[in-house]
Amino acid sequence: MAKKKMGFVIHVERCIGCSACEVACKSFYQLEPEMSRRTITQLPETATGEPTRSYFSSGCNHCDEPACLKACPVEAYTKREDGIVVHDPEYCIGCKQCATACPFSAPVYNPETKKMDKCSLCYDRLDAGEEPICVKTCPLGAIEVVDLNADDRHLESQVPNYPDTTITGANIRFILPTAGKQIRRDV
Amino acid sequence: MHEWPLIIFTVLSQFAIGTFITMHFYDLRRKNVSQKTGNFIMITVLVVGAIGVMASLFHLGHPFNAINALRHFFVSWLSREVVFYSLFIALVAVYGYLWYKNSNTRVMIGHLTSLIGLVTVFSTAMIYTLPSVPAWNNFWPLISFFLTTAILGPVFVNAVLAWRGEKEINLRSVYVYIAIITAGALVITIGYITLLYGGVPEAIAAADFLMANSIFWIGLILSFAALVLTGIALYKGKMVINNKVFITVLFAIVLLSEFFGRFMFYESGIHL
Repeated sequence: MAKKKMGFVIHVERCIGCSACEVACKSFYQLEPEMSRRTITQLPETATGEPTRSYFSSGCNHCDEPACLKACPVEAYTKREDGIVVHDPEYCIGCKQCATACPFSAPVYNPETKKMDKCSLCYDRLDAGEEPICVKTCPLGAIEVVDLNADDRHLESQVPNYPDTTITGANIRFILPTAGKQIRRDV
Repeated sequence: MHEWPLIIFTVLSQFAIGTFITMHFYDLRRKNVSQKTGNFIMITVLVVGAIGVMASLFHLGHPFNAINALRHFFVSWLSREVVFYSLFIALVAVYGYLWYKNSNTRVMIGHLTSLIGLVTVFSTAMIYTLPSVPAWNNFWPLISFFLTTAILGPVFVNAVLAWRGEKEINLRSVYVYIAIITAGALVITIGYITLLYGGVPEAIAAADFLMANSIFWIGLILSFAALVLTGIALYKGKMVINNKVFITVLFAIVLLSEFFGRFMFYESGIHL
């Protein structure tokens, strides 16, 4: 059986940038006010060739070569067999080197615990057969969590306004928006 | 100035390493630095080194667990820096004791300590050479950290030797050295800014930020002032070269320039 590679597939066309995923995650994990595990990014309005407003939601990309894991001096990060990168706060000294090293700024500093925090892909929910909170919450079904090794759809791995996903082998894929039919009177 | 712990730590650790290497070099060249002066400089290295470490702990959320930073040596540059720097300080203490006892074993320990010190500077620079920060993802962290080591140590040691009236120092060659290093640093800085302007948007933003920031320019002007002062000293000859106040002022200028430069380094680290 091929090794699993858990990651996100984002339906950019469906995402309306409502931040429900970000807020639900924040609420579920009881994060401090200034912390978020997910971010909403807007694509440039010229992304499809016609004026289009599109967004995508991202958290930790559970990279093939996690920069956080490599940077961490206390070995607080481990990569599971299924690819999920887990932060264990036990040894964390809050040096923030992982946040500096991560191209996607996924780890954030918790000012209360003085340790780092990041998206865990809701691995304990996944292990119990449940969906991650962001997937469950999204009203448009814009977020999927899949085994990328078993997914044979044509998926984009790069998207504008987002760092190069090849730097760390980020396990996030995108289904890009297409331009809708636009009626113009001046042509 | 929220990175002040790291600014202080990196400048002081590189100052300590540069000072030690200079002393070891002079020992190898049989400069016959007096026992007492050597003791003073070794103690300074240890104190400055320790102050640097203590400052760095303020950067951590959990400074008392900092010992955990030894755990990931085979993977993390930060872990390596902690290991090597701790080794460096321990070896300086050993060397200082051997110096105090006037033991010849200090030569071998001096080689090892100098090597570990250089590896420490290298490790510190590699911590910052990250694809996620385009302004740092190049030669700049390595070059600027080694330049700090190369300028602060020798200038400080020679200022101390001048004040202690050590007869065998050749301040003329030191001034030539300082001129080369500061001129080189200025040229490399121009090269760095040019490199940034040819890079990704975050690199260009870093260059714009530096060019618009008065602290960057003050640091550069201080560096240039140091170069001019060395020129004056070399032109005027013995009277100025042997003047202990002159070299002390020069040290103050380069130290300030290094602090300003390091401050700008951290401020310009614009993330992807």
